[in-house]
Amino acid sequence: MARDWQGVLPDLALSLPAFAPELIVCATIVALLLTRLFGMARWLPAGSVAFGGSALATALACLQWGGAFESPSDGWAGLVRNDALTVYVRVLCLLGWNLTVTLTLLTGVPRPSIDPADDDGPDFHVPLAAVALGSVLMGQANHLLMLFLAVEMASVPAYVLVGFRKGSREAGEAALKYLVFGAGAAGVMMYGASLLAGVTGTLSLPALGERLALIPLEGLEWNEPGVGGAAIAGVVFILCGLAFKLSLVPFHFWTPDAFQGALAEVSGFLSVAPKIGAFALLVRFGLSLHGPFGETGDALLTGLGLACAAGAAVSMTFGNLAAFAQKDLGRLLAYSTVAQSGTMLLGVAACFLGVGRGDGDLAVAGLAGTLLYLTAYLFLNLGAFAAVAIFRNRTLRTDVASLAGLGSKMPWVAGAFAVSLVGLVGLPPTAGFVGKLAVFAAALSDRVGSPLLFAAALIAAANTVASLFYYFRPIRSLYLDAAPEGTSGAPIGPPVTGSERAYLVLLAVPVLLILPLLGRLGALCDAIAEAVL
Amino acid sequence: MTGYLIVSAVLLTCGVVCMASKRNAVGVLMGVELVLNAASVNFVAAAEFGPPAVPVQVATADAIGVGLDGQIAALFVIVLAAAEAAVALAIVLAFFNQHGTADVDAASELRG
Repeated sequence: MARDWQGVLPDLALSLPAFAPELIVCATIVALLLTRLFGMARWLPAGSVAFGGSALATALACLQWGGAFESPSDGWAGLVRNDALTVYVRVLCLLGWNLTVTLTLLTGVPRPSIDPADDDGPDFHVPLAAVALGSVLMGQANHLLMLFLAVEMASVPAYVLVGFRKGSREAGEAALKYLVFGAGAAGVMMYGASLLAGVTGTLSLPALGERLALIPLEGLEWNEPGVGGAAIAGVVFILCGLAFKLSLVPFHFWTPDAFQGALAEVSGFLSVAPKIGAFALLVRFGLSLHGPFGETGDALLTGLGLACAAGAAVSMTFGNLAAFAQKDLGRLLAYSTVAQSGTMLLGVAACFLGVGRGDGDLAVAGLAGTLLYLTAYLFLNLGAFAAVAIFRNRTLRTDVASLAGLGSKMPWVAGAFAVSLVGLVGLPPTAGFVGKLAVFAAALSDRVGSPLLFAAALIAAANTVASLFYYFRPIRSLYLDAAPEGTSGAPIGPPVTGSERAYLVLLAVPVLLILPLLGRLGALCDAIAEAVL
Repeated sequence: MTGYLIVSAVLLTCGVVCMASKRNAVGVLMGVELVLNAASVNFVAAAEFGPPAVPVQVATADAIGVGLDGQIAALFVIVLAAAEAAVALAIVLAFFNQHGTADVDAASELRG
């Protein structure tokens, strides 16, 4: 097949600069492997390499801010899309990576083992960087193959990260469960993509909507009976795969086990970066179904919006109910992320319904609400898991009861943890409140009226109140419960260092001080949503 | 095209049944491989016999098949399946070392 090679150089010239942060991540991975190979790890620790790489990549991503707004473009011959949403997701994910690397440097995980030859610690940063790369790619995938590659890039290293604690029964079990569910979801998603490619004749997301709109037409040579059903099955399978990444009910089974078995630092990162990427991917995939031809795309997208609203309501309710009984902090926060995903999905549902119905305001409000919430969630969840990690280093436990009496012994960490939990509930004046408000306002502003979306918003409000009880249980344990007899005295382990305090404050500041910045941040999210739609 | 779709659907069903019914973790992973192979069959079939990749408005009567995109996708599926199998077997091995079994039902110690 003859290919046009004329366009290659201009395409490269356009794609390479936009792709610079991803290339830095790749270079960091290679550098991490090489330092290990050549024994440079003695004077160049892996943590420093990872920190340098992540800081550089984040800085580069921030520098790209303006360009993508003015001139969105396709990169790598249409494999990726470089627009405002891409840049936003890229900045958030890379920032999350940078913060996680910083946290691992502070808490000293994974512990160096006694025998240096047996030390796998430096390898920890390779899968971490790979998950960051996968999350960033998820935010820009514009092609079914890229969609699959990005999701796998974020999943496969994540299995390794979850099972990283060598010789730990918990970690082994968590990794196995995550792996079995994840591999199944990835296989089903790939099958869905192949069905879509088979019936539409394209793998490119922008062309997908156009082709789907043609399916009902009879008389096309390849239009055999049952094609419409196959297309819908393909879409549903791909959505199953995405729902798995977003840990939405009923694809959430891996979440509590993986987050309990993994190190708190890993859980924090896995609950944030891949989720941000997966939401961007969900939005991009959903919008691609909406072709320029109207009706089929509209019907499909409205159905998708309603499905999202229903999924959101179920996820929130189930996540919150299951969280009530949890004793382990990782498990509690895992069910909390299931519930939080549901709330964010509400904004996406509003966005899809708005586009499907031709209501531009609703669509923009929904997407902007989700973006705002994701930003808040990044700091909230990283802060909560960081506090859990620092507590764990002192008490060597991660259950709620181990927090008893720590409020006075470790006031900074306890305070930061409390701020994060209050933010996750969504109480003012924290960032969580702002995010939830934006999503709820979008869902309730649906004037034309979709009873399901309205009902889902009401369920979300009820869930917020209900979630107060389990989010406040650790806080009560911290401040009201007395330290258990016999262990009363200083917490085990060294005192909290100044840099750990500084890190927690760094995460808590955006959570607490978001209100003055709200105007600018809200306008930014609106602009991104408008640019994408 | 229909014939290939039927073959791949059968493969998918076998894979899903295998995933759901096998208790050994390696058996479950073999089910996943079957599902991925079903996707590969679809891609390769689409490359040769599916709808044309060029826009319908300009498609000629003999234009048919996704073309290289489908074949490349199948290649990527193979590579990814290999990568996933490597990670998967390492994790199964680690699990086996700690628990003395590769039975997925034995993975039930983490409870809320």
